[in-house]
Amino acid sequence: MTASGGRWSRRRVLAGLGSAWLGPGLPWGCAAKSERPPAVPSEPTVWLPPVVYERHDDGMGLWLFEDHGLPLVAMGVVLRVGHRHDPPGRPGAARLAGLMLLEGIEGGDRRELLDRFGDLGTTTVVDVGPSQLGLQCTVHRDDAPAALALLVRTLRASTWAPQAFERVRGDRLEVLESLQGSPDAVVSLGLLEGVFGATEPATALGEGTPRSLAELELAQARAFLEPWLRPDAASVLLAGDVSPDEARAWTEAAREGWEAVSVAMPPEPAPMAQRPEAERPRVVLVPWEGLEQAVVGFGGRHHSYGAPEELPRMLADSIMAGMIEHELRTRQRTSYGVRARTWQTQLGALHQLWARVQPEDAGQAVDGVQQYLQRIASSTLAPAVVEDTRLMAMMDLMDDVHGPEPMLAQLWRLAAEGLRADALQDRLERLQRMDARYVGEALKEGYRASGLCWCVVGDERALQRATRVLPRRGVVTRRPQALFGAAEG
Amino acid sequence: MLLRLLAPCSLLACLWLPAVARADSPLTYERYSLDNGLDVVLHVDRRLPLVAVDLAYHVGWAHDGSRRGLAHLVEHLMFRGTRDVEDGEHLLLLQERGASNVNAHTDDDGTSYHALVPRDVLPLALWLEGNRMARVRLTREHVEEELQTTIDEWESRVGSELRGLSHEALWNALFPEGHPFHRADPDDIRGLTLSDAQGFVESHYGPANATLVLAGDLPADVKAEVERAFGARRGGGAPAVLSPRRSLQGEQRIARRDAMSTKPFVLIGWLTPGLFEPGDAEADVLAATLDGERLRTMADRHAPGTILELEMGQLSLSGQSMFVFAAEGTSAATPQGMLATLDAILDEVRAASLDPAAVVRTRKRLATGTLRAVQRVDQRASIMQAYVAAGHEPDWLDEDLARYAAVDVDAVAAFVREHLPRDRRVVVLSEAAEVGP
Repeated sequence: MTASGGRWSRRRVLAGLGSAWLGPGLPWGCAAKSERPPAVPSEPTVWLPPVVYERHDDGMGLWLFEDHGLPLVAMGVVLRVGHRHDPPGRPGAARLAGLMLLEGIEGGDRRELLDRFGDLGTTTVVDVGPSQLGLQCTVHRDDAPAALALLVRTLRASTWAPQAFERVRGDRLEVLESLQGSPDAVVSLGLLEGVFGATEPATALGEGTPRSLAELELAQARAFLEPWLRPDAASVLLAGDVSPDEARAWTEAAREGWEAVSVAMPPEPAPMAQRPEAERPRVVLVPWEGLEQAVVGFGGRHHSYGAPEELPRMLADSIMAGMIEHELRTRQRTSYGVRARTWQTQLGALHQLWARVQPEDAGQAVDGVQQYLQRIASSTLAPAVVEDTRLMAMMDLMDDVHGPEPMLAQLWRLAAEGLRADALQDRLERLQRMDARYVGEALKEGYRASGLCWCVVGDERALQRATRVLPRRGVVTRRPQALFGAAEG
Repeated sequence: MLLRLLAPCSLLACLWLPAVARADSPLTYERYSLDNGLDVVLHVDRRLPLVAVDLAYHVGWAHDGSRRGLAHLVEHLMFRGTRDVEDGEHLLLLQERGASNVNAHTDDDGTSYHALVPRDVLPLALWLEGNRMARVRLTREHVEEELQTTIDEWESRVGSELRGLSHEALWNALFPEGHPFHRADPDDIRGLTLSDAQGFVESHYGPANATLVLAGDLPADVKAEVERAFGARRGGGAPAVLSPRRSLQGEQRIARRDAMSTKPFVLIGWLTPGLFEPGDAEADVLAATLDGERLRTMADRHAPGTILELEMGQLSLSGQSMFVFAAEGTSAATPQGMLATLDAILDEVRAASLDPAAVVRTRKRLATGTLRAVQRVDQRASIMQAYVAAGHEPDWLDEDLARYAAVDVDAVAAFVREHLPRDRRVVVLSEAAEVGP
């Protein structure tokens, strides 16, 4: 936390992106100088440590990233089930079931379970995503075998105590209520409705609705998870100071007694029901009286990690985020007084850019972004900008394996997305030969005005000013409670 | 994260401290000085072809004196060009070549400029730092722009952040007008001038008042590169020694209504021993033992269902720290009722009723936490800088950890009795806003 943090807190070079469409010419370098910088290679050395993946005879996966820089091991046990598997009419089931894993195992309640992890010098967290559910922790390597065994046992031997279930349910309802007070969360839900036509957008995030959570029974949550508690739906992830032989031995010991089952895996769910594109809103307005700063966001569909189209689109998104921030934070601040900071967020398949602005500046913020979008449609992206972004993405890849915990996050993603062990290496090689034209095409395709949805959360002033410049068709108005699937008060 | 806005600029506030023998220390180093006084620390780590460059000037926001906000303003201005590097070019030159985390932060006692660069780019990164150390170009236009940017940052961190003003009220009540830790507000910042910035740089920005830490895949000729980049620089005076120690007289209560919060909120703050002083480790162990869940269990015993989230933490600063206990209530709770619950929890701890086994677990968790905090080379560089800033060797980890070994339940209870009394503290009672979606 840098209370008086740095000026350049975002990574992109905003000063240069203002002229991103004019070619690589940079506004400096001509005047005579008395000191000159040394020459360094333009393409730095980049490498990634290899990922090891093995599959046990019974189908359980083992993912390994070695890093022997510290006596530290980050680990996870993950199941191939997530909130996209929520049963029809029961959104939130996966998340509640996942949280119940921390409520105690045979022979002990929640506090005792946490103390057992504490004895190993760690805490564990549960993670529930669209396609995966699991537990993770980080320990000293001396404690790693015991910690892995405890993780597996926690997954398999949850007590499912009714009292604990009520508490977890109560906590989730509190979270939902708190989120309804967050304009940032509300703008995401508005975009989810617009981009995907989700009728209850909160369900797309796996949060559930107050009603679905209230109606869910303990037995249903348990029945949801149990079919996936089998070795062939599970993977062990290890990153850090552990050799392949140790990884195998620790995993073998941890999974002892976990027998394979012969019944078929539960079927994959149908995609989320969506309204036809023609019926989807282009603009979602969320009135919120008294909100001191409005939130303006826009977004569109994103490809899943590892998909062929995803990589150029990811570069395009980075460029777009830099340009929008330049527009809102640098140019408009000096021109119009907008105090904005732009954030780029990905929620499942939704890619969104959003910023807080003063209510009276909401119209200018929208207008400025729209002008950028128009320039994209009619211009060619300067190769130097793509080159810069491409290089940053390569360095990000290396950054993502900088220590056991970042490595575990990468393994988690590989396992969740069902990717190959060499997916990161393949990603690096694709980045190394990425052509700027693909990125330019991805930018134009991804930011076509007709494919985007807008959401504005704010008071009457903000909404009035924004609607003056937003598309006139396909405008809907939603209360925050409705986006969360809650009854309106 | 109830305490997030309270975190000061110091990295050390996040340092948790465990038991790692020096032989196993991940912070092996070589340290030497250039003729001009620049303190240099080299740490080799070849896991990835990366180098963390961290240059710290030993002058921070606590040295602002009557010109509050000046150190932070200068930090910004250092990115606005030199006699040889155009405005913004520092960042571009590095990022075009793959550098990341090119940034700076201003602590109470120092200002750090850092970057994580590909190993091939190290000569450029060093040249850029050496160049702006002596040849920064300060202009009235840049000062005016950065004044606005730092005010924007205040707005983002305090003015428009949930409970930001409550946290700021607590901070400034603990460190009132005239104290070196008193925070700059937008009016303070607006009053800064080009002349202030020039004087600050000329006085303090030079090799004799700086430490350079390089961590990562260092080349064989790294010392020659450092000499090339910094050897010709001169100057750098240390700022005046500060006396931040103060004590509270009585309890001060601040009643507020937070415009953006839909829940009541209570903050209690105390003045506590400074970083690495006796009592600092006890504070850390107390806060880590009483995690949010344990605190909520205790709160539910005293006032069931009224408090949603609780958190406590020691924010360690040089010479004088602050300890904060924060709670968010349910919509039905009142700040006064919540305060009574927090006091009941503290009474329990004063009576030494913490579980000894829980304290042992905390120590082990802090040990793991320390390893987690040095996974990356840039993390290692930061922590080494922090130890140096406190007057220790860069691998001071062992000694640091030793402070924790003696902390038991009785020591924690004694800390609470001595440093967290009811009659010497600041309490912020924040009502929920009446507006909502």
